[in-house]
Formats: sequence, C-alpha cells, structure tokens
Amino acid sequence: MSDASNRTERSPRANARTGVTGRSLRRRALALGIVGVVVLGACSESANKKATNGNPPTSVLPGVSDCDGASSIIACAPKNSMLTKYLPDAPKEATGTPITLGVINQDTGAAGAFPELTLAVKTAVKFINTELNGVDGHPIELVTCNTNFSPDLSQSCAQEMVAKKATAVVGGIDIWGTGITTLENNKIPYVGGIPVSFEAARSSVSFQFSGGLWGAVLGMGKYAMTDLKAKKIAIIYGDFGPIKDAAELGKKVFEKQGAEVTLIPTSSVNADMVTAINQTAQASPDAVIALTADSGCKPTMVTAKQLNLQAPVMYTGACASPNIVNSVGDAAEGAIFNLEADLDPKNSDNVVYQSIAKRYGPEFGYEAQGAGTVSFRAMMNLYAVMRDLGGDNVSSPAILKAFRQARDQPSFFGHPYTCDKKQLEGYDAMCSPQQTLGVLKKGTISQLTDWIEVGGPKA
Amino acid sequence: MSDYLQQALTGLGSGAVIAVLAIGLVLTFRASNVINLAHGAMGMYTAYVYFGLRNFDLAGADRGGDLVLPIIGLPTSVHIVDRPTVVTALLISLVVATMLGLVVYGFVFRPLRAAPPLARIVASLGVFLYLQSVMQLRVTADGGGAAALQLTSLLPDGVVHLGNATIPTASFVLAGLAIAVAVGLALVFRFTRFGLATRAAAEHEKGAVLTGLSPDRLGYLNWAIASVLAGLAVIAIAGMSSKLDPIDTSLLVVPALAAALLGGLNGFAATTIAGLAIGMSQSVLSTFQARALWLPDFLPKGSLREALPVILILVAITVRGSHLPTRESIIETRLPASPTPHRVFLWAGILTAAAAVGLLTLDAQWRLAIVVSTIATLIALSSVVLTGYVGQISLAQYAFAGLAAFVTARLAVDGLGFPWAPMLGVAVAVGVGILVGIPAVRVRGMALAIATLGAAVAIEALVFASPTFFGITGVPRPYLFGIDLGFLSTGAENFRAAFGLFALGVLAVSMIAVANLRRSPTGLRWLAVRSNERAAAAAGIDVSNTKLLAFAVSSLLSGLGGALLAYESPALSPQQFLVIGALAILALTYLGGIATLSGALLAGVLASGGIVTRLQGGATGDASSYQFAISGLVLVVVAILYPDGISIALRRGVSRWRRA
Repeated sequence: MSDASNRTERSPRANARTGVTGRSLRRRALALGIVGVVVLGACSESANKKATNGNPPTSVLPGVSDCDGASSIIACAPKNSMLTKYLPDAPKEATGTPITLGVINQDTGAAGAFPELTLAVKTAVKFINTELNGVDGHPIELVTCNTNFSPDLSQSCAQEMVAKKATAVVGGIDIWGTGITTLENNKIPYVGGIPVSFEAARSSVSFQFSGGLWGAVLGMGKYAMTDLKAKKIAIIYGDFGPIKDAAELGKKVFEKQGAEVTLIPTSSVNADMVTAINQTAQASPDAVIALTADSGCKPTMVTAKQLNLQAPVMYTGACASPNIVNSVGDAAEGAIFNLEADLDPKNSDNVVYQSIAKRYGPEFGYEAQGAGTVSFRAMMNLYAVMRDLGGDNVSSPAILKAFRQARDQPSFFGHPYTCDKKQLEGYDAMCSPQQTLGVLKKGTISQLTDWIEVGGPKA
Repeated sequence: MSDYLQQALTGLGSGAVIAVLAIGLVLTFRASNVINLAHGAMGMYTAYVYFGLRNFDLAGADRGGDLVLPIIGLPTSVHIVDRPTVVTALLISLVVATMLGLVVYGFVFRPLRAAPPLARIVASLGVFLYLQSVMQLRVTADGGGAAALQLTSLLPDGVVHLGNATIPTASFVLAGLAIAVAVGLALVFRFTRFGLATRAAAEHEKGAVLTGLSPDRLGYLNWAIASVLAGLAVIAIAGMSSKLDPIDTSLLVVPALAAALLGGLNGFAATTIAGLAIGMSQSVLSTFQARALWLPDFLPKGSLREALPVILILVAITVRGSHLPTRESIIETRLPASPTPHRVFLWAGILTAAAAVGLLTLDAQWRLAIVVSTIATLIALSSVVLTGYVGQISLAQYAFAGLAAFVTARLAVDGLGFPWAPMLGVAVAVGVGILVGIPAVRVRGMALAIATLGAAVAIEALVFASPTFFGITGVPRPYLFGIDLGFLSTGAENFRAAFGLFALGVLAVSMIAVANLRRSPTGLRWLAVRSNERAAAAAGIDVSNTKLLAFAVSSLLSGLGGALLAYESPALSPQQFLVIGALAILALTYLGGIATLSGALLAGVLASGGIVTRLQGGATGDASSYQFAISGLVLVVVAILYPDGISIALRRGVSRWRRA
C-alpha cells in the first residue's frame, strides 16, 4: 500500500447515521446549483486549499508573514489591525460567566459540505477566550448546529439557538435560510457568513459583510464599464435561484447605466460549454461576467480559451481556487476574479488571521481557507461590537441596535461596514457589499482594483 | 448556413455523449430489464479513474498512477503505476469499468431478477447515490469543490469555423465515434452469436434457456460493455470540456434516458440519432430562448432546454407506449404484498393520539420532527395508493406536492384566505396528476416510471423555476373558525402544536379514507388492475378510469402534503421538490412496504428532519460524511433482502414468532 492511502479525507464521525433519510436524499439534485451558489459567495482569500488526489496545495495568492516565533498572537500582531484596540497587554484567559453564541452552518450535506466555516468560528473563539480575556472576562461559549442541507433542519437549528438562549448567531452557509425567520421572530442577530439565501440577504436581523453574488456581479460590471469602457456586457449564469437573481440585478443596473447586456443562462448538467461560449461570442461583448463556480469554472475557462473568446472574462472568487487555476494552465491566464479583500501580504488583518489560524486552527482541523475567512470575519466583527458594548451589557437587543447604528465601522480583513439598509438596494442586510478585483498573471493573483463601491449611496 | 443550424452544431459534442450513454442504457435494459439510473454515475467513476491515473502534469503531482477506490473503508486511492501513458491509463480504466459493470450486475441486479420493477429502480437509485456520494467525498476538495485534476483531452485540438459559430474539432470526432459505436454494436448484435443470443434472451428468456443459452452470462457481458461505453463517453467529454463532477456528470443520465426511450429502448441507430438530436436541439433552444423576447415573463427562459428531453420522453412514451419492449423474465416476478388493512380506526386512533400527546407535551424540536414526519407520511401515502395498490410507478409525487405548495403560497400571499388557497392548490395538483396519468393508460412498469420522471422534470423546469413562484415568503398565518393554525411563534412556543394537530388530523382522515378505499370495491379493482390488466378488463373493470382515479386520489394526497408544506416552511424553494425527492420518498416507501399503510408511516418516520432524525440528536447530532453513501447501500440491500418492504418482513416475523 502506498502513501496514497494516507491522504487527507474528512473522516467519518462517530455515531454515524445509518438510517435512510429520504428528505435529505431528495436534496441531492440541488447540486445543480447549490455548490455554485455556495462557493460563489466565498471570496478567494484562501491561500491554501486542502490537497486532493495527492496534490499539495499550491497557492495562487501572495503569502503572508506569520507569528511562528512569538509567544502569543498578541505579542506579534501588527499594531494597525482592526483588533488592535481590543488586544490586552498580555494574553489572558477568560474565566467569567459565559456568553452563548450560535453557529448555523451546512457542515455536512448531499450537495456539499462546508465544515471550514464552523471551524473558522471555533478557531476565532479559541483565540478570543485564550488570549483576549473573552468579552471583558466573559468567555464565549459556542453552540454549533448543522443544517445538513435540509430546510427543516435549518429551522430546527434556529430553534436550538432560541432554546439555548444564544445571544447572537454567526452565519455559515445555509442554503435554505428557513431558520432565519425563527431568529427574526425571536430578535436574535444573525451575523455574517455567506449570504446565499434571500433571507440572509434581506432579514431585519441579518448583518452581512460579504456582497455575495449580488455584490460580485455589480462590482465586476462597474469595473467593466468604467475601466474597460465596456458598452456590451455578457453575463453567463447558472439558471438557479439567487444566481439568476444576481444576473438579472446586473442586467437591470448595467442597462440603466447605458450598457447593452446579454444574459446567457446555462445548466449545470451541460456536457460542455461550447454552446454558451458561442452565444457569448455572438453577442460581441466588451466584457464577460461568468457567474459560475466550482465545477463550472474549468469548463468556462477552457472553452473560452479554446474558442478564442476575445473579451476579458471576470469570474467569481471561488474560481480562483488553486485547484482550479492550476489545473487549467494557460486558460486561466488573464482571468479576473472578485476578491472582497486587500491581498497585500502586509495587510495587518491578513497577518493576524493567518497567524491565528496557524496557531489555534490545528486543534479543530482548520486551515486558513476561502469560505472560512468570511465566517472568521463575522466572528471578529461581532466580537468588536460586544467589546464596544462591554461584556456585562451584551444582549441580543443591544447587538441588534449596535449593528443597525453601525456606520463605516472597521471590518476584520474587509471593507468598513455600514448597516443602514442602503448599501445594496433591495438587499437590506448587506453591510459591506464592496468588492476588489484581482487578475491572474503567471500563476499569481495580483490586486487589480481598490475597493469598488457597489449599489450603495457611494456607488 | 442558417444561424440556427450553426447553433445546432455547437451541441454536437454533448449530443454524442448523450447518444453513447443512451446506448449503454439500451444494452442493460435488453440484458436485464433494468433502466439503470446509475449509468452516468458509473461512467463518472471510470472517468475519475482515468484522470486520476494521468494526474501528473500538475505542480506537486509528479507521478500520477493513483487508482481512486469507491469503497467505504478502503483507502481513498492506491498507487499502481508511475506516470502511466494514455494507453496504459485507458486500459486500466476500462478494466476497472468492466469490473464495475460485472460487480453491479452480479451483486445488485442479478439477485433482483425476481423482484418487482420498483425494486430494480430503487436498487439503481441506491447505486447512483452511493457512487455519487463516495466520489464526491473522495475526489473533490472539501467534499464540494472542484477536484485538482487536469482533464486533458484524448481527442484532437483545434476548432472549425462555421459562419458565426466556432466548434471544437473534437465535437465532430466524438459524434463520429458515437455513430461508429452504434454501427459496431448493431453489426455485433446482428451477426455474432453473442448478439443473437442477447436478442433471443431479451425476446424470450425461457426459450433462450431451453436452447442452451445462459441469460446470466449474457447479462454480465452486456453490463460490462455498457459500463465500458459509459466510461469512454465520460472520459471523452470530460477531456474535451474540462468538466467532470460527481453530481452533474451522473445526471447526464436524464437526457440519455430520453434518447434511449426515443430509440424505443431497442435500436442502436435510432438511439444514437435521438441522442445527437437532443444535444443539438438543446443548443438551438438555448439560442432561441435568448432571442425570443416575446416569450411570456412567467416562463423560465433558461429552463426550456432542460424541459426538452423530458417532454420528448413524455411524447415518446405516450405515442410509442405499446411499442416499447417489455422483457420477459425467466423467473416470474411477484407483486408486493398488500394485506387488507384491519382495525384501521383503532390504529389510526392510537397513533394519532400518541402523536397528539407528543405535540402537546414535547419541546419545539420534537413538534417540528412530528410535523415533518406527518407531511412526509401524507406524500408517501400517495405512493402507496398509486404504486402499491395500482402498480403504477410514479416518480412525480413530489412534483405534485410542490405544485400544490407553490400555488397555495402564491394565492395566499396574493390575498386568498385559508382554506381556499390550499384547496385551490390541491385542486391544481389533482388536475395535473390526472393529466400525467393519461400516458399511464397506455404504458406501465419501467416505461411509466420514466414517463412520470419526465413529467416531474418538466414541472420542475417550467413551473417551479417560473418567476411567478420565485422567492415567495411571508405566507399569511392560516386561521380556521377563528383558531390560529400558524406554525411559527416565538421562544419555546415556536412550531406550534395547533398546526401539528391540524396536519395530524388531515393525515388521520387521509389514512382512514385510503384504508376504506382499499377495502372497498374500488380497492379490489385497483388490485385487479395491478395484477393483470387484461383479466381486469375481461372482468368488466374499466381499466383506464380505474388508473385515472388512482392518479387523482394519489395527487390529492401529495397535494395535501404540499399545501401543508406551504404553511410549514417560511421560505419555499423549488429545490425542495426536485425529482430526486420523488425518488427518495418512493424508495423510502418501498423500504417501508409500498402496498401497506404502515409503509407510508415508516417512510414518514424515516424522513430527514423527522422523528428518526430527532432520535439521532437532530441538527446538533453528529452526522456522518458517509451518510448518503450509506443510505444508497441500505436501499440496495433492503431491495434485495426484503423486496416486499420492512413492514411486511416485520409482519411475517411476528407471525412466525406467534406460531412458534
């Protein structure tokens, strides 16, 4: 037996369910679009993706320094991080009465499993409790819940948070978002994660620090019209729920601004992308936005190259995964991606994040990864709000009020956020939909733009 | 060359793949009377084997030669050879594909020769789920992302320019290969002893045995060939398009089914032409839908191409129903046992009372679980009536439920009160159910299963994706005689017992009604039709009306389940009602006992998010990554060991125990 047998694979957990759970089975076909939506929401801040099929992770992003030699993260953290004002002089472990927070995420599921989001929050909380003295002495206690890709379990998770008296819930990926109504009814804040459902993007108790697909398409379109002077834009998209909604939002906004927009819907059950790319080419676009992700990225890149599509193609950050760009070779060269982050290796939050992940992540099996970054950011932003309130004053209504009043608040490893329901019209929960774009050149992504304002008053 | 013709040619490559997969479906059907839903998944596995072996051009992957293993408990892969050449990798992959075909036939479908058609459908669904789940865990990043595989093409590079269209040369090569495969197989089946023997066995298995042929050996051979063809097709298209995915690639079986049916599940040439035509016409539809701005807004434009193959399935079955071959088996198939329900009121009373006590005394999580199980039982009950009592295998039950749910929600949000909105929703489901039942007058068994599968996909593509039903939230709370029947509340009162009791009442009345129907002359007519349609007709039974009545009753039950879901779920999503859901609920009901009321109850209890999930700890319980793969295995094993379902097996066990 070779060393191949020792490869990384998520091991089956204890107490495996062996029963047949039919209503979970029926969700399988959701893979038609779900995996796409999920990963689309994620930014490509990842530096390392878990190896599969024996390939070691090969980063396409610039690396960052870390705190390898330091006694603690506090000791080595750069002084201009968003967390700086909350750092004690020396590491201090919290021992007071705990504050309960929840995490709702699709840790397992037929159409994709995203445990890294839960693990990112656990890693962040471990750091907070171990080094930051919790929330003014109150350690954070996490209640985690797995929707398992089921709308009923999404509701069940939300009720679990109610029963466990969670002060707030940190979002992960919840395709259905059915539980958010329960959180809303109980006035429990739903903070961050990746907004892939309309409920996450619109609920009055939801506060999001990622633009999701909606922000991505608007950011790419704005870049196309202003920097590339595009008059004609083609949008290739999966004909499914929020992806379709984002494409149609793009069409509405770009046409209003004078561009001619062609929508090219595709199905994930296509054998190839030849027809879609031909349709795109026949529209003679000046720029192309490809709302594909995951298994849709490679075919789009390869076919666009093979059929010599002339216009620059912009992809979602999920397509910037090393697994994808490394395996398509030249076809990815020159591709533009949305990032929602500042890739500067000296970015203080980036350094802190990578260092925390390296030091506290292994206990949970967490590596600094794309989708996990978004939940990590949410946890840190929530932590900042709780610290500003003061540990003894933390409550659901106080957190709701603080977020609702937030204007230009610093966001961990992201654009400052403002939760005034005006940042992205029609998607009230979006507090920082701003985008950055990067371009892949010679195997490395470099920053292409500064922050692009999308949808809000500054857009 | 006209624009649409150019566009049609862009679909040549995908049409060729559909054609080759469809040929494989025809082979397995002729060999063993199985429409193998796992055919695409088997090809997907072989393609991962090939590309895994050849995976050494990427940075860090310096030797390749790793064989990915699809068996839980074994390592993800084993290294067998360093840097294999294309020929070596291809040979190994095809040997693996052959073994896969032999194993699937030998261990799954051969033991099911005597089982009802539904058992074979359930088993193929089990294989489909197993392969999809295991490969998703083993080859994709984090169980969901794209695999780090370089998909290099076996076919020539280059493009051909035809007017405005640019078409890869490989598409033409692929189409040529598909035609060559069809011609080759046609010649083999016409002029070789193996081909003649397979045809003989397919036409008359008993006769074939009497002349010294071995249907088993022929079955093994045909399954091996089909598996190899599926592997080759997927390797070719994945290399050309750079697209390989455990889920999407497995689902290529749907358009392949359409081509196989259009080809009459028999002829290789007709099947190939149908496959190529589907691929090309989908491309034309893509262009058409982008240009046809006059199409009404309620029509989901992007889904037209999805609907095409399934509409073709429906047309093919309705028009060609009586021409579709039915394969006689050497072993007489048995019908699932359908014991007459006894003491229905007593049992309904006990179970309803127990559930009601649960709703009134247990916590919110348990109330949710009971409601989920109640609704799932109602939908499963619809399968008991249609499939269990009348023998009509329908895969559209979830689509009917979805129709009722969406219509109810739309009408309720638009201001129609309770109970009028759900009543109209259910009425729409019944109407469409009867419409879908019309092909059933002409066909039965596997062919009807595929027809209803087509209907479900068409409803999914044309109705659920419609902007009319998109993103409906905020369904008003239902009130009946001033009583608040709403499901949601705040704090510990959430998932209100009032809604649960109402749903339970609907289920209890439905169960009693179905039991009474089963015991009435109508029920006897249903069983007579299930047993032998000609004999039933000879006995004076109007077979057509009997079937249509069953479709009406069945869609009524599904519709009731769907209407309840409209009030149970705060945000309806089309993805809650996908056709795979119908397969799952049918499989669960089959496991429970497809022709018994207790089968429906077992299916409801086992439903995800239902009572069994709650017993396992609910959403905070520890779910296994392999849960879906294990579910697939359970489906296969139960289909083989207990073809009458668990409840009948239990009943027999109790009887034996009493006698002892």
